[in-house]
Amino acid sequence: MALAQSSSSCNGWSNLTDCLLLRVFGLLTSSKDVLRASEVCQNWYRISRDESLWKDLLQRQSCLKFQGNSAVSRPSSWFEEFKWIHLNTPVLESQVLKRHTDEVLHVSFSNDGKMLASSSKDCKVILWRMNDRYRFCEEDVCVVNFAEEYWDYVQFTEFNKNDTLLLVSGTKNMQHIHFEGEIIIFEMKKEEMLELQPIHKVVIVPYDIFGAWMTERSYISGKLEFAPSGVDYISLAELCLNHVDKMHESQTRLAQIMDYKGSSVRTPLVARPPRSQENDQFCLIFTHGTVTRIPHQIVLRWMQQKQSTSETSSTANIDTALWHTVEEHFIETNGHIIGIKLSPDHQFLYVNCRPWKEALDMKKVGTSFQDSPPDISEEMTLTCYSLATYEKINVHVGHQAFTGMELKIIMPMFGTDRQGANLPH
Amino acid sequence: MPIVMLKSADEEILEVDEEVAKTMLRGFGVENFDEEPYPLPNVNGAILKKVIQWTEIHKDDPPPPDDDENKEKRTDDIDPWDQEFLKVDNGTLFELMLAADHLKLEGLLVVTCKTPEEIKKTFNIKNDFTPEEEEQVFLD
Repeated sequence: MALAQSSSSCNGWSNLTDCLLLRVFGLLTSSKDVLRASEVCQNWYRISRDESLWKDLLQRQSCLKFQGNSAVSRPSSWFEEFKWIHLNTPVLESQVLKRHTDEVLHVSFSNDGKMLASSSKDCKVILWRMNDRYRFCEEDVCVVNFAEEYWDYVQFTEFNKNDTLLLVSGTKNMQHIHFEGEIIIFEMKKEEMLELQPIHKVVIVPYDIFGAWMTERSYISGKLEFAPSGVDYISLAELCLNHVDKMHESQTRLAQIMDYKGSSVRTPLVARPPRSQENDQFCLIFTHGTVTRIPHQIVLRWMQQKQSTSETSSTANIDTALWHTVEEHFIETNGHIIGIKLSPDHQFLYVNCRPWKEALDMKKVGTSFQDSPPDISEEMTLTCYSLATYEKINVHVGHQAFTGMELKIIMPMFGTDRQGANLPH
Repeated sequence: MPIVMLKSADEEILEVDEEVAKTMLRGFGVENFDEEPYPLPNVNGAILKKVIQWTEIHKDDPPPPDDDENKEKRTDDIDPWDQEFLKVDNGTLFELMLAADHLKLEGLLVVTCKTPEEIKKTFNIKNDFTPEEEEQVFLD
């Protein structure tokens, strides 16, 4: 019935060329109208899927302009990108949490999705607990003020795998020692009252290395030492493993990275994708800069426990064992990496990036960006890589960067398009 | 003012002010007209008359910029004369669009395309989707 009516009023429409019809469709301001048009007939369906329409709709929706920029990766299909954003972006504001008094720099959810830790420039971490009506209650929180630890601000938190410990990382408020930060590990008491009890501490240099959980009771920290004169590198970065039940001296060195361009190792992550479980490997992931001080490259280092005949390490305690590199892979992002995050099943790596204004062959730029990094574009991309093949799975572009060259710490929270994120709704 | 002749698809000969004809056929790069009527085998007489009428009014318009900036103001800002002019049946509107496209008359094309009421009307016959059904359209 509906179709018969529309086809009678469609007389004449069929005379229009594809080009003209596409123009008319291009004047529709709502994606709903375009989708309805696609239901009219085969021909309209075909034209309604034209990529230019969806690129336009996405541009208008996000108030962005996707200009021709060879450095910026593009989604393979604008229609799919629009659909992905439409179906996956949470648009319901369910609650606004207002206890912080300054900019919130980072939030993290517990693995069971029932707790939320927020870090802020107000130098506080607030641990929020969700009630059985999926609401966070302003009264049921634990606030830790890190001003008492002589911190400037708190920048990052991460729950361990079984949600018993919370890693908190921040910058130290010591003018005479630059770049210094600290990680404090808290034990969470989730009885009547939420409580956070500090149990372990380690200094990190630089502060934006953040830190990460390696196992349930061990975590990665980092330090940086400037090279003595007479050597060709500028600094030496070390990623170390710390065990919460042991003293600091028991730190194990996981990786050592020499730097030649004033960059440093940042945002370490430990991935244990399905492939690694067969041969007891893990993938140590971190960002680094090889031609400029800005992090633009992702290093994926597969590591395995050293086969040892000595009895001490035969206990298979991975926290204290020594490790060796099995395989190493590099991903060049061609931009300033803002943050990286693993999918919950550790099969995919999500990379938030501000691409360079122009595409650069990083192998050929030599020393041109040693003193000042390349200009970055105004858009942000979220790229998903497979940890099995290192291939780009897809690129999402629908969000805008708000800062200029002065970048703040922005970490991608969730970017999973195939695994249910632990995000409570 | 010199007068030139145009010949429509249905062999109708129309007399037009030379300046108007030049504006109308700018897309074809026609500079001089012969004694013979200029043939327009893709546009019929009735529509050609409408196009001439439109060009007479709009001959002094600056050519529409075709950059993206201009595309943003895709509101219904059709001037009153054009609105009146476009009060025609659908068949005529479509033929005008085709003629504008054929003659590369960007200005006329813009206003003829800018009457999406009809397209809306067509869709609204089916405009009873629930939000779930709308999701479904995406999922199909």
